[in-house]
Amino acid sequence: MDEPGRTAAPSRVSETSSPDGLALLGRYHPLPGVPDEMMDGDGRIRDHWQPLLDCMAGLSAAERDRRRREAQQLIHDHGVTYNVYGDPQGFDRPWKLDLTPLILPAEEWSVLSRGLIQRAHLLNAVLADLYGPRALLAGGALAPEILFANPQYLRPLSGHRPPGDRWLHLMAVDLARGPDGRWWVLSDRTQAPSGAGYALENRVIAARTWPEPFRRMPVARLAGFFEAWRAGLSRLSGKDEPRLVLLTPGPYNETYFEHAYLARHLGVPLVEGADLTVRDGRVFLKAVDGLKPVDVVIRRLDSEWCDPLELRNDSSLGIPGLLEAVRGGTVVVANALGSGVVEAAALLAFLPGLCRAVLGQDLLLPSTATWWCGDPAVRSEMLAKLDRMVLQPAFSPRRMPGAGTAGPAIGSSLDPAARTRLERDLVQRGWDRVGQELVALSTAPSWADDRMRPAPMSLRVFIAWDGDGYRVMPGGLTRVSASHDTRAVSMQRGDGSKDTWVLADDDARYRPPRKATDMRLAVRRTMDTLPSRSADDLFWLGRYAERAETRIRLFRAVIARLTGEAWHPRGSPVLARLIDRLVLRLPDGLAADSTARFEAAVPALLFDRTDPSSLAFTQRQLQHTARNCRDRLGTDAWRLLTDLQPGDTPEVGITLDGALLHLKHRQDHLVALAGLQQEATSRGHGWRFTDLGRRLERIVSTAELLAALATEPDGEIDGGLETALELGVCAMTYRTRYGARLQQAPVVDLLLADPGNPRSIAFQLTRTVDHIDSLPRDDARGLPGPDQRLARGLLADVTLCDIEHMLAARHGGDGPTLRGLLDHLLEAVPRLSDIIGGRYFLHSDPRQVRRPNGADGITDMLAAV
Amino acid sequence: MSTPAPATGVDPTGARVRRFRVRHRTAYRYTVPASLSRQILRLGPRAVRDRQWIEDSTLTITPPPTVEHRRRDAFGNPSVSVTLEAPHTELRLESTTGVTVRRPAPPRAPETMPWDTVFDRVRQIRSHADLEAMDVAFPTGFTDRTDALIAYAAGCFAPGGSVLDGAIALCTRIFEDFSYDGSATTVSTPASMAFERRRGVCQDFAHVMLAGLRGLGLPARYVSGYLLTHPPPGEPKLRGVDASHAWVSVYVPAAAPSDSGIWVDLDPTNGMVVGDEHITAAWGRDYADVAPVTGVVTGGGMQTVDVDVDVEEVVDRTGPPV
Repeated sequence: MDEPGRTAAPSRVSETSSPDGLALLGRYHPLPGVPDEMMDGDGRIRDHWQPLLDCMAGLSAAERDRRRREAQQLIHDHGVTYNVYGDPQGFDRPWKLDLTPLILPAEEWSVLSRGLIQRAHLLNAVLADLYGPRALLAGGALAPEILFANPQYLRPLSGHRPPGDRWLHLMAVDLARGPDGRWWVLSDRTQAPSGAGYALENRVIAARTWPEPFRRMPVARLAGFFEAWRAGLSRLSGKDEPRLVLLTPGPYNETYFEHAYLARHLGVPLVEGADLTVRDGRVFLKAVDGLKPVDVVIRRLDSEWCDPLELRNDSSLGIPGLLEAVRGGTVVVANALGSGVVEAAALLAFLPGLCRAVLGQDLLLPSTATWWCGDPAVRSEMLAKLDRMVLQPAFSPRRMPGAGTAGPAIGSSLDPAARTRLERDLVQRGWDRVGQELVALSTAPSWADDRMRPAPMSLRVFIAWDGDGYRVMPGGLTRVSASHDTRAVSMQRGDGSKDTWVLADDDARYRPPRKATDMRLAVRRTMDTLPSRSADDLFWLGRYAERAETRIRLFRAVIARLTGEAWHPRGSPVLARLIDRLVLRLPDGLAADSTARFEAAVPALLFDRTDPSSLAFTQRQLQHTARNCRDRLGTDAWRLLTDLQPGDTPEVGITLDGALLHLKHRQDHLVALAGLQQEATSRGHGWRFTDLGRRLERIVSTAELLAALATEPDGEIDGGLETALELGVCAMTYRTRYGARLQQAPVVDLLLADPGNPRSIAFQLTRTVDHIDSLPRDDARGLPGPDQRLARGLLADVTLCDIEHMLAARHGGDGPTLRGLLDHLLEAVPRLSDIIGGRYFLHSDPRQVRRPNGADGITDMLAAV
Repeated sequence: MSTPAPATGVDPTGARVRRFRVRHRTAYRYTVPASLSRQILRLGPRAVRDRQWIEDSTLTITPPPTVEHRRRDAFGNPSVSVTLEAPHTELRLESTTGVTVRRPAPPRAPETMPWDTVFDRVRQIRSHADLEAMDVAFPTGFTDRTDALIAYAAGCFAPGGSVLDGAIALCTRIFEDFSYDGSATTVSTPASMAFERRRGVCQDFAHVMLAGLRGLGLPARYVSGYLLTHPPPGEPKLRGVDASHAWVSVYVPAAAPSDSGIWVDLDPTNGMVVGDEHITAAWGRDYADVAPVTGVVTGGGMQTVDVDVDVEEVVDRTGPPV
């Protein structure tokens, strides 16, 4: 097999490179004294980088730029984002991906893997001891402060043993390469580590950007890692087909994209705390068809927020009673609650000794040199060499009650006052601090502006329990810093990430994994569980999508009448009515100058997100709803929804023609979305709720349309019937059926009662009845529910009415009028929507946490002295 | 604790032994029905080694809970978790406990070890008691530290002075400097705020003292409990006038390596060393660990709470009340 990376003679840039390629690498100089991943100390490219560089350098600058733009488009289309707390611009910030991967050779990776696996076993065993016998404290291998002063230590779980004694199911380790070329651990992430999903997404994009080297190099595949993780969780649950859920804090969390992404990748429902409930010591998912037992909770919510009853009582994100279920052993929580204890930086100082005490082995993978200042001898040493140290909080999260601000302090950059304060702090509460050597990061080539430059980097790797042992994801999330400061990297500062290519040493390791063979799946066609909250979101997704489409049609109809042949200097009643429908509240109602007012209002109607009558407002509602049920939407649907961002008012303003283009573009997306929902969505409960939302919304809009334009015979308002047909999207049907003559009865019949017209109210009601009949119900007597009665009644009213007789009737006369029927529909549909919501959706939970006065009866105390 | 309770009267060591009946009643009333209620009860009293024995105990919950589960929490306090799944507008908890209390031997304060060596000694973990002490040695949300509070506490501890002398001095100082004022603080006031105001109730006094002790590296517990009250001379004792109370228990490590340390209870609200009229309900790091009732209620609207507590001495044939 051709392995150019192994055999090619080291060279600066390969022979094949184009002149453009020389420019790419021409002035690449590693930072002085800092090891570089791609270039060795003699300025030679390391062998394992050669295939990638050959490819990049062999492309023209224009081709490289095309690939860069395509990758950018992919990130946009996949909606890869992260959120930044406290930053108004920080919501849904696009993911920054540096397209050149980090490449690591096989031999180096296997050494690293052994160290990582040992570390996972070690930390798991330390957790088991700290929540159990605490032999490590009594034996002196670990200072007692590391447990007792640790804010991550959850006392309600003291004595608890999770299923299989497995505390850590997925952990992450942040690594840096030291000046000696070895890998060092910067920190361990054992609580609810993020990044594995981003790593997977980075892989998708990088592999598509550089297909040639990706195919030529034995890059280990990532997918098997996630399957192994899932298999490990399933086995611990003890169930053949366990129900797993992924618990997220919600769409405002910084890594929410990843929560939804992983939920989709693993095929498990994404849930928030309110979706779960504990009954009789078991965790259940609130689903449209009742409470479903949950066996495994993969949590992305930090432990302390998980149960307001026993942990933080100000948390509305958690599940009251979860700890009771955990202690009862009825649910696997991954990682186990309380496992954040071993994230403490202070623990790094004890790991070599702990490894010998717990595993009887030497620690394979060193950590950043760390001294815990709780030890009086260490304290004076720290004070003596403060200039070369960075002082860090000893525990995670990085604050203690009453500790004030205790961020990292770099010894050499302290002013005298701060230094005095720090010295006093160290003496008074040294246990809260660690001293660490300033860590120098290595650099990796970063590709920007078509130049490669060395960028400081760190590598986050992931280790998962697969049921039999720990295994390392053969890859990781490489993070690069935009600055040349090799001291620290932070994602939140907006620096980028890279894919990580681990070269496999044998064929089997990089082949796409075979599917797990341990269990044969029985064929079935039953629907997956739909959480009540998702049903709610999907229902409103349907309503808002339909609403946006209706408004766009209306908007376009108005503009067409202002710009085309139909324009009349004095306006027309139809135009006035349309504008009235579009602009909810024109100050003077149907004033003569409404046309002029409309033109002036166009930018606001398109772009003003605060105006409830604007398209942007509806778009924002649609987006918000979509984000909440993102795990239920396919990539294509999400891409369409992403492109429906409201956008901003153009600085140069917008012409009517420009507005028309803007509207057409958005309409195309909405029509495509509706197509996906009809043609690419399986007919489960989720689809039914979305379609139900769409149908109910369309009944309302069509009834309003008829009420505005078709309650008078033709001629009473010029062009009214024609416009009704246009907005009802059935002008063509009418013309083929009746020719060019417009009359009220045929128009009303087509839009109201013709069950064969997919835009008619009768058609919507038929579908509505079908959906409602198919939804789960718990009535044992098999009687129709109030929603069924209401929907069937409306369907009968609409399909059985005699249109001609109805149009002949007048108010106060005998028999129903068209206006009366429409009013009835407009009153009944919101009621139907409420009944459905009340039955299937998650009711807002006015949950209250109360700590009644414990020192109650306290006013009697004086008497007690 | 496995040793049987001694008879009332005076035990062979000369310590006084008394018997009490504690009744703690709590009633919640809701303006609209609560549809789901989960509560954790730590009403106590609990057993205390060599000091307190539980004779019998009943807990009545109305309406009867759907699920009731008993366990001991991380501090060994009995805790009952209850779930009510049927709508209710009233929740009544009534606990009655017979308890025997032995008066602790008066501590020989000057003989206890120098306070500034305590922390380094305890962290060597020579006994299970040392482990328990380390568990309560650090600041918490309620026992937050400020420089001023630490300095205030440090004023009571002479360099090299005995730990218990210092702790008693701090207890007395808080009793003298602070005003008892039920309106100055709430159930969620942290020590730093109560300290600034120099006012509060027993919970605040205990938190302030704990923040000071822990700031100096001295492990100490928050103790919740009950206190026997005495009617004014010549008047009959009224029911329901006794109170939930809170005080502090200071850890005094053993001098000899083989011995376990001891806990000495001090009551800063009353400026006294605890004798045989304080009945221990539960202990922890601060109020949050031992709140008698804590819960999550769905629905319920506005709630009102009524609490009443009776502590009554039980006179039996084995000896007269003292």
